[in-house]
Formats: sequence, C-alpha cells, structure tokens
Amino acid sequence: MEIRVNPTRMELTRLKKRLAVAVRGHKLLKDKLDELMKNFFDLVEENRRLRERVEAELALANGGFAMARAIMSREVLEAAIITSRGRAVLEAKTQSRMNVEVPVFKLAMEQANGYGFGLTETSGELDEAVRSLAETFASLVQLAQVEKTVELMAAEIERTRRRVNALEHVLIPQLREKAKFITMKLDENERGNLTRLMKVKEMVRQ
Amino acid sequence: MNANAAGLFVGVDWGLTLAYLGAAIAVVLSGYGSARGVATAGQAAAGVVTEDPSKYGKTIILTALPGSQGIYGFVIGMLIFLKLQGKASIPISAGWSLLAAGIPIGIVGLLSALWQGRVAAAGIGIVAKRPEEASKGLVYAGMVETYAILSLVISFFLLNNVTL
Amino acid sequence: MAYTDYAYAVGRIRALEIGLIPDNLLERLMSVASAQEALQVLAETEYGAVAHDGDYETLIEDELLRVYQLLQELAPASEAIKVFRFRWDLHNIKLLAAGGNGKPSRLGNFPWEVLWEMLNRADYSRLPVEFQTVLNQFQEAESSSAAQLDQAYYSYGKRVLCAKEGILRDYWLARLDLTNLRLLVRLRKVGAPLEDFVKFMVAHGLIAQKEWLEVYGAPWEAVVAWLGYKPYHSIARDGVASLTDLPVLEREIDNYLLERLDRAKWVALGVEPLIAYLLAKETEAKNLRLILAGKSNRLSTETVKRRLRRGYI
Repeated sequence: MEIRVNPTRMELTRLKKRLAVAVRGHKLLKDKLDELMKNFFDLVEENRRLRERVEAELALANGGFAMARAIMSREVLEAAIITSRGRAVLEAKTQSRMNVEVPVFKLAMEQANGYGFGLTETSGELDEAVRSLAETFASLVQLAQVEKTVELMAAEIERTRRRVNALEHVLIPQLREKAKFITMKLDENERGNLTRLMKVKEMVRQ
Repeated sequence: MNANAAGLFVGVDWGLTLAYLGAAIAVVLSGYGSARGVATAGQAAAGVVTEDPSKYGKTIILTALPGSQGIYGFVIGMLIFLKLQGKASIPISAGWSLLAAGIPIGIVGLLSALWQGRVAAAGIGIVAKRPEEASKGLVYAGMVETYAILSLVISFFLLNNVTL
Repeated sequence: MAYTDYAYAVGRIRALEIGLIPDNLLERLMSVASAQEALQVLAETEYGAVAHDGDYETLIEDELLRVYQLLQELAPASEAIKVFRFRWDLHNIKLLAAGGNGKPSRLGNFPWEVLWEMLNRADYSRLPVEFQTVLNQFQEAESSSAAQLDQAYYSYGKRVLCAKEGILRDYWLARLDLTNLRLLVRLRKVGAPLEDFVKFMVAHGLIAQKEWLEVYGAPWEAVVAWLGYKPYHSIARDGVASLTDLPVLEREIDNYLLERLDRAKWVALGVEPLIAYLLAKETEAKNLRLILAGKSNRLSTETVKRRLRRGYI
C-alpha cells in the first residue's frame, strides 16, 4: 500500500491526535452498538410475543365471527356490521430511543354497542366476536409500533456496525500505518543525518 | 190492524202448523249444522290432500261424519211427515208434541254437527301427521256422534208416543 | 261463528309439518364431512328442489320466502302472520334509516323499493301506527334510532297479538320478557350503564319495567334468584353459568319460546298452527344455517351441537 503523507513531525502529531480521536470514537460506537444490540434483542423478543398474541387473538375473533355467521343470517350480520357506528382514533407520534426516532401509536376506541342496528335481531355471539376483534385491533396497533421500531433499530445497528468496522478495520490501521511510516521516515532521516554528520566529522579530522 | 192480523190466522189449523214446524226444525237445524260441519272437515281434508293426494281415502270418512246429523234430522222430519200424511187436521196438543219431538234432533244435531266438524278437522290433522293412527281420530269424532244419536232416539220415541 | 277457522289452512299445514326436518336428519347432516355433502343429504328433503349449488344462505332464504308466501296465501287477512313477517321489514327500515347501505332482505311484507319510496316521501301511512310515530319523530339518523325501531316493532306485535287471550298472546308476552332478558345479559356483559338498557328495552311482557330496572344492577346470583320466581325459571335452571353464557342462553330462550307454541298442535282450527309452523320453519332455518355454516367454517360438532335449537314436531 502506497502511503502518501508528509513525513513531518507536525504531521505526525496531527496523525496521533486523529488516531486518539478515532480510537475513542471506536470505543464509544462499540459501546453504543452493544447497547443497541441488547435493546434490539429485547424488542425482537417483544415483537415475537406480540405477534403470537395477535395471531391467537385473530384466530379467536375469526372463530367468533364464524360462529356469529352461523347463528345469524347473512343479511343481518352484514347489516349489523355496516350500520355499526363504532369509532377509533389513532394518534401517531415519534419518540427518540437510543437516538433513533421511533413511532408511538395511541389508540382510542369507542364501543358501538349495536347503536346502528339495535340488539334484538343480532345474536349475543356477535358482541363477543366484536369485542375480541376490538382487542385484537389494539394489539395489532401495538404490534405495528414494535415492528416498526425493530426495523428502525435494525437499520441503526447496521449503520453503527458499519462505522465501527470502518474505524476498526480501515481508519485506525491506516492512521497507525501512516504514523508508523512517518516515524520510520523520520528515524531514517535521523539516521541519515547522523551518518552524514559522522562523515563530515571524519572529513574535518583528516 | 188488529182485525187484519187476526184475519191472517183465520182458518189456520194450529195442530198441523205446529207439527210442520217440528219437522222443519228437525231438518233445517241439523241440516245447517251438518253442512257447516262437513264444510269445516272438508276444507281441512282439502288442505291435506293438496299436499298429499294419497290421503284422500283416509280423509273421506272423517269428512262425511258430520253429515250424519243432517240425515237424522231428515229421518225425523220424514217420520213426522208420514205421521201427518192424509190427516186434514190434528189436535193442537198433538201438534205441540210433534214440535217437541223435532226439537232434540234439531238443536243437538246442529250443535253436534258443528263441533263434530271441528273434531273431524282435528282428526284430519292426525291423518296428515300420523296416517297409521287415523282410526283414533275417527273414534273421537264418533264420540260426538253419540249425542246426535241419543237425541235422534229421543226424538224418535217422542214421535212414536204421539198418537193421532 | 266467524269465518276465520282456517280449516283448509290448518289441514295443509298439518300435512306440511311432516316435511319439517326431524332431529335424526339434523344428526345425519352433522355427521357428514363437508357442506357439499350436507347439501346432498338435504336434497332428499323438501329443500330438494332448490338444493343445487353450494350457496346455503340463498337456499334457506328461498325456503323461508316460500313459507311466508304460502302462509299469507292461506290466511291473507291475518295480521298475526304480517307481524311475524314484519321483522324483515324492520330489518329493511333500519337499513334505510341508517343511510340505505347494506343488503336488503327480500323476506319482508313490503318490497325494498316500496319501503324506500315510503321513507323517501315520508309517507308512512301503510306502515303500522307504531312505526308511523317513530319515523315521524326522526329528524335524521340518531344514535338510538335502531333501538326505537325495535321498540316500535315489539309494541306493534303486542298490539296485534296480545289483543285477545290465547297462545299467541302468551307467546308474545314471553318473547317481550325474554328479549328484555337477553338485552339485560348482553348489555351487562359489555358493561353498559343502566341508561343504555333503558334505551334498548322493548315493551314489557309479564314482568314490569320497574322490576327490570331494579334487577339490572343486581349481582348475577340475585338475577338468577329473581328469575326463579318468574315463569321463565327453566331458562336459568343451571344457575349463573347458564344465564351468562350467551350461546346457551339464546338457545334456551328460543327453545322456551317454541315450546309456548307446542299447544298449537292441539288447536284444530285457528291461525295458531300457521304461526307455529312459521316459527318452526324459522327455527329449522336457524339450525340448518348453523350446521351448514359450521361445516364450511370447520367448526367442531360440539360447538354446533351446543347451539342447536329444539325442533317442533
């Protein structure tokens, strides 16, 4: 590898300073990476748990609706769903977590209680199905939040790891190399000077 | 007015009139009852046969059963008529007796035929749902017939007791 | 004797009652593997003429429509049959009141277009008087409009069916009370306040409104105990568990109501056997839908069996 650098003492001091900064940066980034990784695994674990829960809840809600479907006629069930006047408000904000902007969702739901279609023609099984679906919806929103966070964290980890690697495997060795080169060059010059001096001294003595 | 009204009845043989009235009551009331009874049972039977024509044979007896009162009334009416045949005039007391003889079969025939029509309609329900038990419906309808027969018998005895 | 003995109609209904699906056929339907096979089994019954493709919902609807039309043909003057058919008009009116979306039912007394026209022109003169009152009150679709329409329907039924003593009066009074009971359990289970219950409650049957309001806040045990003194004690005979388990409660209520009409089997002349047949058919439709939907959604036989209603034979 060809090293293009001014082999001066000033340059060497500058390089050493840079090296010190790089090493400290590397250490800090490495710490951050460790922390990120720890966080990430927690999040992944939470994500997995939530996903399992959502899947179970969805299966339950689906079962509930299949049951409601079996108990009520198609018209009644459809009408009850279409005329239902339940409301849901989703508030989306962001929050800084380990210097990563992650989303935060807040869900507010209003139970409809059959206001659109009345309760005499529908079956009580619909209530249960609707309730379990509403619960599932809340979990789904939570899952979305966690999943997005995991994604953003993963990107951040990737970036940090690249920086750490760049520092560790490229910048720091390079700086070390350069410093070594300058030192060697300077030593070489020193030795050359010494030899020259010794030569001059001998010539003067003769 | 009074004289006119009285004039209307001049020369009326009250004995015969009362006797005819007895015959009319026996025939008309029981006939009306039977007609209604058969109509009810017949409609029910028609309903069943609409859905299941093979039940026709089983419904026919039940449908005809309320018709018997009309026949009883007719018999009593006929007997009263036969008794009066060739008589130019009968005593008023005999007329009253013949009227009384016509009443039992008239009234009981009317009511029993109406009710028997309902029982027969119900029996036709049995034919529709459980053809194998159809004869039981016949028995129930027949029980109503008992009272028509009893009144027929009484009407008959009363009639026979009248000597002209 | 007025000429309303329905002798012909009852005769026909008696003959038709043989065609009702018996319990053992329901068992057989449950034991087959798929909805398709179940439909094939059904093809051997009255449904045969229409049981061709896999759409059981249309099949059931066609059959109900046939029954409604037959009954109205048999007893054109009977207001009672109109009341029972009116539940589908109620369905359509609710849809119209909510903006006209959704699939209308074709089972009602009035065709959808006619109802639409009526509500558009605000001309309710052909509807029962209870509906006229409620619809005239509507400014626009309110949150409780559907509940008010339900109440109008039940009051309409009460006016027509409870006018004179008899099986139909007993039936409707029980239906009013049990509808209120069902509302009570459902609303309490979703944690609705008392005001909501008041808003949904239909006209009272044998149990006065005051009693319902008092019992709404009581613990379940107290509700069961209270119900024990009512004619409906058999419904919660297994205590709190059977009262709060909605599928079981609804099944018990349906069974109880159909049992009220068992006496119609003894009625030789009158409109009662017609109504009983109609409700028997509706129950049968419910059972068939349950089994067929259960088959196509792969619900377990146990789940389906738990909800099967008792037949009327």
